[in-house]
Order: sequence, then structure tokens, then C-alpha cells
Amino acid sequence: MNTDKDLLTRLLKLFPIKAVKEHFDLQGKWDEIIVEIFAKHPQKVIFDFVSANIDYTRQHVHICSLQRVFRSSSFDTEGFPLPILTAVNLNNECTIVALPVITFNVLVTKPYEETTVQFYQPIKVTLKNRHLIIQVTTLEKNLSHYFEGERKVVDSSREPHEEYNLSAIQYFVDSKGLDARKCDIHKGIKKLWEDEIIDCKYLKRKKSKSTDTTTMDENYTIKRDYPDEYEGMKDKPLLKTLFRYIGEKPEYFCEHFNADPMQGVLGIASFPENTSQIQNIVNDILEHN
Amino acid sequence: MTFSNIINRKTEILSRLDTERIYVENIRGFFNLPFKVAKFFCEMAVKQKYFEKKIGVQCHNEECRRIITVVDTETEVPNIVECDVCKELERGVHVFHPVHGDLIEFYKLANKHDDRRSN
Repeated sequence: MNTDKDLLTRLLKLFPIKAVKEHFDLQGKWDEIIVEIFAKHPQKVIFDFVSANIDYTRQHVHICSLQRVFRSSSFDTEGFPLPILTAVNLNNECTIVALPVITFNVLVTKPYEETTVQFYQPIKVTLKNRHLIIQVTTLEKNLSHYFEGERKVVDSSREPHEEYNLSAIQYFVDSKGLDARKCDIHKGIKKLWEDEIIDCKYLKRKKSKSTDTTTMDENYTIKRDYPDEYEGMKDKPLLKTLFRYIGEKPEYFCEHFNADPMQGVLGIASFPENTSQIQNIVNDILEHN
Repeated sequence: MTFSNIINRKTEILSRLDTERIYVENIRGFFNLPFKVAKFFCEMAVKQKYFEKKIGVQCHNEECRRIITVVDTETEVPNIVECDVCKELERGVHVFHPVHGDLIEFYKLANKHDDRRSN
């Protein structure tokens, strides 16, 4: 259930099959590809692939502000709280890719059994200018998928929680005197919306005494199809809202991303088409923030 | 309420009506009719080719219920639909087989209603 090969298989399946095939120059289905990779490549090669391609995964992106500009010369990775795969600290930018193991304690049916399912969870931490950006790859939600036949997971708990690892990273950054605080990204998001780089399919916003949601049917979007509602939203705080890329540059952003601007969190729930899309979203939001 | 106020109110409601999406409740509320009469009115408008009848396939998730796709008849309802809003908001189940309760009827103003009226 949790052998080295099991964990590496689950790790590879966090990436789109297209990216794995291209990188390892293979053809076929997942099972065939994984057999070939294990036969030809040591674990280090798989970890190198993970480090280089984390921007291909479905993920949450947590954006924090730093109280002062990041300087490589006054920073080191000693004391980083998670197992590090790679760390590069050059030219006033530091990128760390970490690979902690996450354990799900699960209760499975037919027969009832308490057991565990473990995953490697890639996490990329970037310190640059006045920002700390933490990218956390999201894991498979349907744990029943890992059990054969009609066995179903009826209860599960995760150790450690995503929040625990995030707090540990922020604590580490704070200990280096950088003082990270979650970054409000309303300004950047609303600028991209105003400039028609993105439009909205699901809007959740605070009104003075209520929380209001609008979910658009089919492929309708708020600004294009409900211009009055868009105008009325401009000064309202947004909660978790879903955006669609409508800009002119092909494949510049992911087709969709969700954003919780008050918390400084982005969610990418579908595989990106390339490894630039997530960085483009983050950079463009911060450029206008 | 004066007659003039009533007319202004009705005009305002009418101006807000989306002619692509006319629900029976829109007609019922506008004319203050019983539901069955409003439904009959809509069906008559279809027969007279003023309205086209449409069926929206809604997302099965209670917290969503958006219309994912629109078809003309129940036989055209797809066996499997995916709600990309639920998928992108990471709501878990986002692919499902539509059941009758997921379908919602509405009407749209027929494209050729002006031609029909001029004949």
C-alpha cells in the first residue's frame, strides 16, 4: 500500500500524463509508462522531473507579502521545516522545492479496516522582491481509488494538514527576519478583470449585511453578460470566485482559476497546458496589485 | 397604486426580461396568473411559434444548480455532463448522470417572431 514504488507512482500521477510522456520520451498508458520509468530511471531522476515541472500540477498558490525586499545574501535555507528536493538562492530570488510525505488515515469498507495511504506532496516556495509564494500541489481527493473492487473509504483524516505545512514555512521565513503576511490581491485581480484579461463564471462577494453568490449558466460570464452586476461589484470584497481567461495571447493563463483575494490564495483545479501559465497568472496579478 | 404606476412597473419588469430565458414564473408574475394558466399561455405561444421551448440541464450539486447545457427535447439530454464550475471550485463530484430533477424548462422568444407577426 505504501511502498517506495507506490509513493513514486502516486507522485508521477500528480502530473499530466502528457508531461510525463514528453519528459521521459515514452508512449502508452499510465501503467506501461510507470513500468518503463522504474525500469530505466533511478528515484533521483523522478525527483528531478518533479522539481522542474511542479508548475504542471493542480495546486493552491498562497501569496504573502514580505515586510522588506528579499535579498539572497542575507538568507539561507538552514532550518527549512520540510524535506528539500532542490534549493536555488541566486540574484535576489530563492526557490525551494520540498517533498513532504502526507499520510491519510482511512477507514475502508468490505471488510472494515483502518489503514493509511501516503503521498509525496510537492511544494514550491519562492521568495522574490516583496513576496513569498507557496505553491502546494493538490492531492487526489477520491481515496477509494486506491483500493480494489468495491472497497470504499468512508472516513479519512490527513496528517499533517496543508495549513500546518504553510504555517511552518511562514514561521521559517519569519525566523529569517522577513515577516510574511497574507497578501490581499483584490487590486491585481480587479485590474485584470477590468482590462478583460479575465472574466468571472462564479462570483461570491460580501455585501454590507450579506454574502451574495452568482453562478453563470453555460459559458456566460459576469462582465460580458451582466454588466450592471459587474459595475456594482467593483467596490465589494470578493470571496472564493472563479475566473476564466479571455485574453488574446493563446494559452497565456490557465483556462480557469479560482481566487480568494482576501486570503491571497489561488486555486488551479485543472492541469495547466504548460509550465508558464501559473507563473503568468501570479506575476500579472502582482504587477497590478 | 395609480394606473400610471402599474404601467410603469410592468414596463420596468418587461424591460428586465431576458428574451433568451423566459421562465413560466416570469409570465405568471407579470400577468399575475395561476401557474397552470401561465404554463398554458407559454405552450400556446410555442404552438403559435412566438416562443421556442428549451430544456436546461442543471448541475446536480445543490450548492450550484447552474445550467450546464441547453437542449430542445428530453431525448437530447446527454447521458453524462460535467460542471466545470464545480470542477474548478474543487467541489468534489462534478461529473454526473442527469436525472429528471436536474432539468428545467424555459422558453425563448422565437427568432422569427417578427416575421410571424407580420404575416
